[in-house]
Amino acid sequence: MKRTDLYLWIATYMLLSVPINLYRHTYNLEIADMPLLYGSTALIKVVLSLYFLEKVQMNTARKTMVLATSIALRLVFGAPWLALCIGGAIFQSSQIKKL
Amino acid sequence: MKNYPYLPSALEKELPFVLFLIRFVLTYSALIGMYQLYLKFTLYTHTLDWVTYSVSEFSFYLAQALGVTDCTFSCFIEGCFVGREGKLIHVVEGCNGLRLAIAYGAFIAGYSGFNFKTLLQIIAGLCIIQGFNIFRIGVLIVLRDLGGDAYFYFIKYLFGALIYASIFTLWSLQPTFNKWLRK
Repeated sequence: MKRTDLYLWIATYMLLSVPINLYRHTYNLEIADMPLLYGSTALIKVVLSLYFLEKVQMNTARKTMVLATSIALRLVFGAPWLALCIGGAIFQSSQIKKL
Repeated sequence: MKNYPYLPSALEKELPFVLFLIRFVLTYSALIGMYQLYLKFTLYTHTLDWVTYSVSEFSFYLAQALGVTDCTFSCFIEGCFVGREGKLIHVVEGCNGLRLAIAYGAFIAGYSGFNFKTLLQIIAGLCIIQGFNIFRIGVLIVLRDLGGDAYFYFIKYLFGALIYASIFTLWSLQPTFNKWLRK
């Protein structure tokens, strides 16, 4: 995985988080108060991750495993799920010797 | 790659990746499980967890060193308040950077397997991440002292992106680290 792709992935992810969190803090809302907005942002983030996982030539089985595991970790432990997605992409890249 | 005649060929092809995921999940679950147990213990003893306390304390010293006069520091069960009166920053358990540090360690174990060198790398990584987190909170206290709320939130996410970028850069250098350690 090229480092520029890596940084672009993080920057886009963070830029998606900023408006929704500013909105939350401005109106003093909880996530439960805006399920539709939160859900659609989460969906965009998943699509974004799929795009970058595709860029490192990950097959469908691996993409499914990475996303399912990271979302499960997020739901069970509140883990930073992007970390496992990027970790998976880096591991895949090292396997195909693209780093 | 090793040959596993008893495994279906599709699974054998995916085996290195599956093992990476298993090691990652096991390490993450074990470390976060221990931390959750420790948090339960602090709840039982009505004390604040040591990591949040230490991160807040060092951030307080850093903010003082960076020129925040009349900087105050007080801790309760729900977290610490650091900064000047009226412009305090609330440092809670989620801000202490430990969950991200654990994710860092889980990747190293997932990538390189479980051995002494991995353990050393994980410990070094945890120290670097906590150092960066203290720097981040210390600078946020200074910025809160100087600027308004909107500015503060933008800087908060900018630092979030920077801490992610530094961790993932370290991860992407992992094959190079492994080569050095093999020498």
